[in-house]
Amino acid sequence: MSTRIEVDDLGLVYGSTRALDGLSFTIDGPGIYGLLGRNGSGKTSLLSVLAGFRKATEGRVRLDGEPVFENERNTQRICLIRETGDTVDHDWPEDKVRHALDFAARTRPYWDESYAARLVDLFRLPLRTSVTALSRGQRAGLAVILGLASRAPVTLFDEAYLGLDAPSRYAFYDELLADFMSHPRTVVVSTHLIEEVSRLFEQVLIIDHGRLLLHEDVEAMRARGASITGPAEEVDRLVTGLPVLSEQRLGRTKSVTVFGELGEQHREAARQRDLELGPVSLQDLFVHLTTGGAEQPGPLPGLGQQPRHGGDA
Amino acid sequence: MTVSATRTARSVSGEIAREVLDGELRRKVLSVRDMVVLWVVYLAVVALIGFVLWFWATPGSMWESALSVVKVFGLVLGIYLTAVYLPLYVCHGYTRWRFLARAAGFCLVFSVVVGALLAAGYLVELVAFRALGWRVELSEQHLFTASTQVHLLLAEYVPLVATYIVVGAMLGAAFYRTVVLGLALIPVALVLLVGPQAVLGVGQFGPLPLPGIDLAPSGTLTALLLTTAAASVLIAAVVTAAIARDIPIRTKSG
Repeated sequence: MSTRIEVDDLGLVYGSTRALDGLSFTIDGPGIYGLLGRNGSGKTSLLSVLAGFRKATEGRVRLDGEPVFENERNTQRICLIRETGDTVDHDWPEDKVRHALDFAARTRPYWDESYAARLVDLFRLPLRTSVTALSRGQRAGLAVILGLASRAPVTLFDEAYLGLDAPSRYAFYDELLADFMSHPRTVVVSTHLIEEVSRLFEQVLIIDHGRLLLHEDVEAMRARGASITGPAEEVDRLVTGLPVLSEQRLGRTKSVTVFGELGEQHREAARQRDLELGPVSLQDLFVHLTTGGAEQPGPLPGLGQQPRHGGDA
Repeated sequence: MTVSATRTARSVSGEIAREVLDGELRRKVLSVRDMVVLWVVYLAVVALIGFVLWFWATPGSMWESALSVVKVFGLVLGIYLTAVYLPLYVCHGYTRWRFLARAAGFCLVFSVVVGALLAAGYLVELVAFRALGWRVELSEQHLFTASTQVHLLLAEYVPLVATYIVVGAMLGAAFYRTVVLGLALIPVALVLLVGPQAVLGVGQFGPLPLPGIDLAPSGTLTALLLTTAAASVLIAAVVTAAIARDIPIRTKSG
């Protein structure tokens, strides 16, 4: 299902806090996109505006050329899932899991009931239990089911699956990928578990202090740095003068991640010294960009604000 | 009126009509069947209390004394509508306007059904009292003077129930938006609730000393009650819409 999300000079201010500041990007779906940022960087604010939960203070958000806020043609096509699934917390006496699913079935135009039933089995959710009596993990499971089975053309997960245990998280990743392959749509996943989820992402958006730091294809991002592994002395000699993102050492073996593309001279030197070269991890790159690497918030010089393909660049 | 305002008014009234017919909010919040069940249970509780009190004295109208609980129920349900169900529906893809129009349809049905059930309660009480050889004695002034005046019972209770639920919706929206706004609107809510009751002289309120108007049960009193209740409902509805039209949906942390 092809969709185009355009965010143009978006600003959001709460009281004296500027949560979003001049954000602009375009996402041309279908695809799975990662939204990364440190705590308080504006991820939840951005997703809230994208879904029409909040009105932007400045700028605009458009889905397929039309505004989102208070436009039912678009709000019905967007599903934002937050940690608890925004379901029936106080809805006594209709606060059981099955009520939450029935309600979603009535209100979500693309809801797939049989898929929801299969996911209930997968995440072992008790249908007759009150939502408030669920454990944190079970609530996260419910949230994930509400998001996946909504089959909304634009599905946004705001760290919805954080409460899941590791096996359930991996089940969610597998399910998301499988369902995306059979029902392509635009999925945005906001996360702190970068390494765990990064295999799913086609593109990544990194925001910091409410501004877009980077919007790029994952493969292009990984090529923005390199990991070099081998005997410690040889590795140290090779990376002298290069910006080092992280280091790990085990006995005499050392692995160093450097920022920036390795030139042919360095590659040749690595081959001669029998050092192993690999792509940079997304998490190392993220840490670098959002701590010391990017002194000024805003699009990084030399890093594309829009992806090289798939977007409108 | 501009073309877009006309279109908005049409779509809002269409949504109210759809709610009256298909009852999406009634299915979620409180169905007519649930209202009837609650009425039966409440009637039984009031009868039980009346039976206990009978050991001390022949009670007056128990149903009349018991109705303040129903008003509070209407107020709380109104608060729930905007503080709990508005965010829930917006999270599930409704626009705020569509929900508010649906909520208006819900309030309309709730007021008519509950108003009718309250009137029916007087009739049940009348039958029971007659069987026991008692007289139903009303302690407060009403539009009606006997429990058999069904049209006046409806004319009194439907607008009063509507006032309570719509004012509740106003408070719910205000407190959901900010606690300060909610607190600031409490005096306004009190005025809107007291106004129609002061006309009648219910409880500690009124009757209002209106020069030249006889506030004994009459057509004038009925018209005055309907006018003040309609004004309260209208003001509360407009304030609710103004607060909720762009209300931010909170995250769990606030």
